Amino acid sequence: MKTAFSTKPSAKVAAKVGLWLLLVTACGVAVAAILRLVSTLGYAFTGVTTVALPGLGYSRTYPSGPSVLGPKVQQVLHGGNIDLVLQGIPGEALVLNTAASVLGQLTTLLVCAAVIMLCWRLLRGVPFASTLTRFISIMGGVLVLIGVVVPILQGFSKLVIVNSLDNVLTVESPIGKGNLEYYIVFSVDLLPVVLGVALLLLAAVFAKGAQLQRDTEGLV
Amino acid sequence: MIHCRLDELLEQRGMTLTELSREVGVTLANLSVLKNDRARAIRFSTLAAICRVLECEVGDLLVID
Repeated sequence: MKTAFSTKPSAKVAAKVGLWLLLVTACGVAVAAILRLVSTLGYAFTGVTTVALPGLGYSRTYPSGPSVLGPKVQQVLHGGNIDLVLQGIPGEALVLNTAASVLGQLTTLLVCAAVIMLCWRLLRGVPFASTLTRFISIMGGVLVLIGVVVPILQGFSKLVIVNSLDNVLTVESPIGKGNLEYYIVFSVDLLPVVLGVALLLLAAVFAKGAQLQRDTEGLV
Repeated sequence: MIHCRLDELLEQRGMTLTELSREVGVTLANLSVLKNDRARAIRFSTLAAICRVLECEVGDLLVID
């Protein structure tokens, strides 16, 4: 089957080298994501959690520190948002937070898996296969689902954490208190949704390619 | 069913499939597919090239069984 790579020999070699590099890079990223997943689970068991919260308080006006919010807060980092480093958050918040982190790492693994499969198929010269199309569309759907579920989990987790802290509604508090919808919206990350939609579109293109391949099978 | 008489025509002209592949510019694999009646479709350009090299008509190459 003629592809864009089957023109000049030098272009073919360059394309193969590029695909191998991409495949090896994706494998490396996948390994890093697995290690990060393991460390996330490890941190969950040590009980230290870092949570990003919107700065709804008045910390700019009054001096504030970790002690204002109670003994659980070890550190308050002021950046674009307020990052709290906490020890001993409520169990349900820990479960929700860990689940959200695991699903986040799963996004990276799924994208790496898709890249590895596509590179391997292209290297073998058989990119269009119904199993590959089905797998990519499932991955895309799962990514979109992760993009929807993770903010909800993180929103609930943040609400539980904020409710467990002291002096949240005082002027010394840097974080203030929002409602569940606000924390969910604050936690939205569009990357998994965008990647999921991109994979779904790619699956549609591959389905069409598979159909065209079937039509030209046996053509001399 | 359409049958390809490539075998008979090559034998009459004392030509091999490899030589034909070189002359026509079609891969040996594809000519083999055509010879064994496993082809589902054939391009006009391929048909014309084979007939030119073998100096025959389309009806000599393809017959209906």
